[in-house]
Formats: sequence, structure tokens, C-alpha cells
Amino acid sequence: MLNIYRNTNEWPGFVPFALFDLPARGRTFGQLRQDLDRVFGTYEQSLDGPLAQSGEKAQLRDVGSELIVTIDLPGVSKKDVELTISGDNIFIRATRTLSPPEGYTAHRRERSSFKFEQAFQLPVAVESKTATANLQAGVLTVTLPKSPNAQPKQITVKTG
Amino acid sequence: MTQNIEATAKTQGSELAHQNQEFMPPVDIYENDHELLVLADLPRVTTENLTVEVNHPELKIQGRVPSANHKSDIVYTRTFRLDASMDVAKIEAKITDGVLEVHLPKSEPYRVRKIEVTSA
Repeated sequence: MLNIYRNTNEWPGFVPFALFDLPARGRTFGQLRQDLDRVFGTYEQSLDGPLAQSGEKAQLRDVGSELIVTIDLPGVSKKDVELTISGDNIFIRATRTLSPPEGYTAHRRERSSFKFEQAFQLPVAVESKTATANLQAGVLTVTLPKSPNAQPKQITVKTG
Repeated sequence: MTQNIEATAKTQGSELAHQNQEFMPPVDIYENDHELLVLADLPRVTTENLTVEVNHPELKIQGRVPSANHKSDIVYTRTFRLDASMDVAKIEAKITDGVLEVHLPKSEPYRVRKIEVTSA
């Protein structure tokens, strides 16, 4: 017997698994953000108004000496995030696999699994050697010192 | 064009200054014999900006993400209606990696139990 429910709107149903093919490089940050919105924002307008949705999924901030990229990745552990930086290109791969907890039955499943793979282009080249990535409170924060000549480098994600 | 936008912003200035972005976070709801379990995606929300409150019969989850200028905080809100079978005093919540877990134990009479049948 389901004895807990939301008191506004009705959930439209199953949210399909979102999967993205690896696209060609050279996409802009704005396109990345749109794609992230598609991954997470499976919440269409219903007749009764907006349904469940999250805030802005990705932000790019220019703070002068460095660029700061933040991406919402709730429930994603650091081993499921991969970052590669090369010049002004950045590649991000993140996976979230959800399954019902052992011994429980599901009444409502709005949160979705996803596999996200995206390459995009930064507005300027960055210094990959001194870039850092931090995963905390379900948010990936990548700090990218600006640089004219960047070398490809694999960045290990660590929790803060 | 820019002037028009600025003019509009000026006339609405005081309202825009403190406008929050309101969202309903996606949730999963699970049940077993002993409890209901609510999971909600609340990225960027930390414990100091998170409230889980029961004002019977409502359970309200609210998380806030302060913006840099405090002009448009992100506010996540979900409200649920509880029935009498929940043991309100024993509700527990924790947040890990931007995912909130709320455990709602069933009160004793509503728990599923197996009765052993004995023969006379």
C-alpha cells in the first residue's frame, strides 16, 4: 500500500534511460549544458505545469586567472568520473547506475541512471598540468588555470 | 535593445533582486516491511542549507543552494503527505554525494510480520 505521495501534480511515468554517443570534439560549453539538461532534465511540462526538475546542471565561470567548471552529478562516485583535458578541449565521462536497494519495492522512480560522455571546447586554452577536479556534495568542480600552451593530461578526480 | 532590457530590469528591479529559482527535485520512493525510503537528488545542497521537517501530516524537504550574489538562490522543495502508519519520531535523514535519504519507519501495528501457525 503506497501511503506517501506528492501533493501536487502527477508524475507522467517512467523516465527513459539517457545515453549519449560520443560526439565530435569542438562543441561549446553552452552545448554541453544543453546536453546535460537533456540527461537530467527529463521533466517535460505537463498540462498542470512544471514537474520535478533540478537547477542549472552545469556552469562555466571565468574568474580571471582560471576557468571553473561545475557540473551536477548527484549520486556519482569519483571512480565513475573521468576527465581529460587537452589544450582548450575537455572530455568528461560520468556514469550513474541506480538500482532499487536490496529488499525494497519501488513506488516511485523519478531519478534516472545515466551515462554521460561529452567533449567540449573551452573559450581559452588551459594549463592542464595544474588543473584540479573535486567531487563534493554531488557536484564536480574542475578548476582550470588559463594557459596559452596546454599539454594533454589525465586528471584524477578526488573527493574533498 | 540593451536599453530596453535595462529599462525593464529597472522597473522590476526590487522584485528581481530576491527572486529564487524554485525546483522540484526528482525522488525515488521505496518500501520494505519496516519502512519507507525516500531518495532525492539535491546536488550542491549541504546539511546547513537543508531542512527535513514533519508537520503532520506533511513531510517537507527543502534544500537551498545560495548563489554568489544571493539574488537568485536555487530552492529545491518537495512535500509529501504521510498517513498514520509512519512513526514520525523515528524519521531519519542523511545526505551523501548530493543525494538525500529519508528513512520513515512504520509504526509497530503497520509492520509486516509473519505469524507462526501452531498445530493443536
